[in-house]
Amino acid sequence: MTNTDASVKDTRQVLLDVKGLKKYFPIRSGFFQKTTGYVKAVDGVDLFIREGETLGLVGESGCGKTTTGRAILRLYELTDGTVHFRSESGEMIDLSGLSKDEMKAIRREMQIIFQDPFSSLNPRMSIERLIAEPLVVHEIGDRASRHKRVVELLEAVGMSGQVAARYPHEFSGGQRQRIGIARALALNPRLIICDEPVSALDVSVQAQVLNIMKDLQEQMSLTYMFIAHDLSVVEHISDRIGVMYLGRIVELTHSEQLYQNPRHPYTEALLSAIPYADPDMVQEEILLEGNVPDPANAPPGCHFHPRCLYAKPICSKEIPQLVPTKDNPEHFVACHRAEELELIPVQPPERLLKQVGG
Amino acid sequence: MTDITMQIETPTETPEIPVDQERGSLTQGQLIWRRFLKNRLAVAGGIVILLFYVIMVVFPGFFGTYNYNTQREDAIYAPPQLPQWRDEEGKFHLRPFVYGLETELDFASFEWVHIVDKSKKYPVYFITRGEEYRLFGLFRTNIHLFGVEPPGTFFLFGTDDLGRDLFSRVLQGGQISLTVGLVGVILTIILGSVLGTISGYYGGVMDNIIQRIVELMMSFPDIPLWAALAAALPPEWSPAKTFFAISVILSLRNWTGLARQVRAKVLAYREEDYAVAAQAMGASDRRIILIHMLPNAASHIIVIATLSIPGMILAETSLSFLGLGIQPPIVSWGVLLQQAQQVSVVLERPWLLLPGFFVVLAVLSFNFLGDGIRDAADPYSN
Repeated sequence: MTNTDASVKDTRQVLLDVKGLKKYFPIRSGFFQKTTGYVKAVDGVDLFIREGETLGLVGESGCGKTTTGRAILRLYELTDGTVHFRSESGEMIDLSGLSKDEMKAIRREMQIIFQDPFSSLNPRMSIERLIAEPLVVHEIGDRASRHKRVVELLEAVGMSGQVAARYPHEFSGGQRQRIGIARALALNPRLIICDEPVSALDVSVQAQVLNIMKDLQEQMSLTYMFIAHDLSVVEHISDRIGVMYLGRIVELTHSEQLYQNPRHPYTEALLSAIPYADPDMVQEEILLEGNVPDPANAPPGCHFHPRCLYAKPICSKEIPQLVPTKDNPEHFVACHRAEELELIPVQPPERLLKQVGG
Repeated sequence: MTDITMQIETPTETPEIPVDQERGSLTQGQLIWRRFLKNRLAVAGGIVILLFYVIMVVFPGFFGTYNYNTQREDAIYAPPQLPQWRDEEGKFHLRPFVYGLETELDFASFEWVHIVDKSKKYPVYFITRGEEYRLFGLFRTNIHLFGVEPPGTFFLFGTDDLGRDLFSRVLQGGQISLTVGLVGVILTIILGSVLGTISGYYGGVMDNIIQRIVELMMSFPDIPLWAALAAALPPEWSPAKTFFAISVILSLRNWTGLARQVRAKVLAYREEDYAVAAQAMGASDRRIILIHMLPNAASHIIVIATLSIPGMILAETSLSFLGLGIQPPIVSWGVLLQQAQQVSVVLERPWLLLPGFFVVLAVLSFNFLGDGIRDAADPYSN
C-alpha cells in the first residue's frame, strides 16, 4: 500500500478535502458567561485524504489533532472552513453546511475509533448491543441479521462470536479496542478517523491492533485518518503523514519523504526524538526549549518561532502558508525557510513494531 | 447489511478468554439478584419492607384486631395485653389466651385504672369474625387474622385516649405513611431526573435557570416551607386529595438533590467516548439520553430513591406530628405520635410511643435495602 515514490502522481480520488478548518472554543467567565477569549484548538487546517490511503496526523498533546478529527465528523460545530466528503455517487458534499438529518445519512460513511478503550464502550451494554448499535440507529436489518453481522464483525477483529453476550468490563484493553473497531466497521464505512487507537495499549498489543487495522483496510478498502503522538506508530501504518503544531499543519507529505527529507524544523525535532532499540546507535537529539504555547494566546506569525532553532525576524511577523515545495508537489510545508534549510533526516531503522507484530 | 461478505483470515489466534461456565450462562439480572442475596442486612431490610407493605398497605384491616376508629369509653389508655401460653398455675395452653381487663375509677386521681383479671381467660382465635372493615376500601368484610370473643378484649399495643386499639391504628397509619413515601419518591424521580438531564445535557441558559431554581428551593428551610404549603391546603379537600397534595409538597423540595446528582452524572457521561461514539453514529439526543446516560445513572437514581423514601416517611411524620400533615380521622404514624407530645406519655403510657418504633424500623430497612441494591447493581463490584 505504501506508495513511496514521490514522483509518481497518486491518481486515487480524493475522499476527504478539508480547507481552512477552524475550531475555536470560547472561554467564558463571570456570572453572565461572557466570552472573554478563544482557545484556538484548530486554527486553519488544510488536508486531503485519498480513497484507500492512510493519513497519519502527529503532534504533541494539545496541538489539536483530536479536535481536527472530531470537527471533520461534525461532532463539533465548525468555527470556519469546509469539509468536503465524496459521497458514494461521487459528488463532493460540504459537510459544514449539512443539517442534522442530512448529516445522519453521511455518518454511515464515516466512523471513529477512540483512544481510551475503557471509556469508549458503554459499561451497561453487552458486546452484542454495542456492536449492533450503529445498525439499530440506522434501522438496518432485523434482530437475526444484526446478530449475524455482530458475529461476523467480531470474527473480523479476531475475536470469537461467543463473546457477544458479555460485558465490556470482562475484557482487556486490547480486546476492548478491537470491539471498538468492530463497532466502527458495523455500518461498512469508507472513512474511519482513528483517534490514537493504540496509545493506551501495551506495545505488544499495539502491534496486534495495528495489524488488524491494516488487514481490515485492505479487505474492506477503508480510508484511515490515523491520529497519534508517536511517529513510530504512525510510520508503521501511514501512506502520508501530517505534522501538527498548535492548531496548524506544518508539514504534510509521504511517510518516507517525511523521514528522509523533513523540511520543517519542528518535524526535524520530532524525528530526532524517536527512540531506537539499538544501544550502539549514537543519536543527535534536538532538544526543543520551552513548552507548547497556550492555544488561547498563541505567538504571532509562525506558532513555532519561539522554539525554533532557525527562526528569523520574518517568522514572528508573517504566518507561513502550507505550500508545496519546489521539487515535490506532494510535499507541503508551512515554513518561511523551507527551501533554504538543510535539516537532518532520519534513516528509518528496522521497524521494531513489524518484528513484534509479525 | 448482510450482503457484505467479509472473508477475512483471523489475523491473530482467537484469544482464549477464560470461560466460567456457570457465570457465563447467567443474565445480568440474575447476577444482580445473586449479589443482592449475599448481603444479609439488605435481604432482611427487603423482607421487613415487603411484610410492611403487605400487612399495612394492602391488608391493614385483616391483620388489625379491631376497626382502627372504634372508640371504647371503658378502655381508655388500656395497657398492652400480651398473649399468654402459661396460666398462673404453670399449665401450658396450646392456644394462647389473654386475661380479662377490669376498669375502675381511681377516686384519688380521678383516672381510669386497668387491672388485669387473671380469673378470666379469653382464648385467641385465628381467622375469626370481628368488627367490620372495608377490604381495599371496597368490600365489606369482618374477617380478622386473630381476635378474642367479646366481652374479652385484645389490645396488643394497648389503647389511646379515646380507647381505640393502637395495634390496628399502627397498621392503618402505616398504610398512609408508607404510601406517602412511595408516591413522593416517584414524583421526585420524575422531576429530578427529567430536570437534571435537561440541565446537564443541554447546558447553557436552561442549565442556568434550572440550577438557580434548585438553589432557591434548597435555600428554603424545610419545615416552614412544608408547613406553609400544607397550611394552604383547603380544609374541605377529601382525605385522598390532601394525601396526594402532601406527597407533592414533600417531593417539591426533594427533587432538587436528585436533579443535581443526575446533572453531574450526565455532565460526566457526556464527555465519555461512548456518548461521542453514539453521536458519531448518528444517534438522536433522545437515544443518547435514554440508552447511554439514564441506564448508567440508574443505580444512582435507585439508591437516591430508596434512600429518600425514609426521608419522605420522616417528613410526613414530622408534618403530621406538628398537626400540619395528615388530619384525623385519617391516621398516619405521625398522627399517632401526636399523642406522644406530652411528657406524661413517656412516663405513664409508654406504649403510645410504639408507632415511633415502626418509623425507625421502616426507615432502617429502607436504608439497608437501598445500600444492598446499589452494591448489587454495580457491574464493577465483582
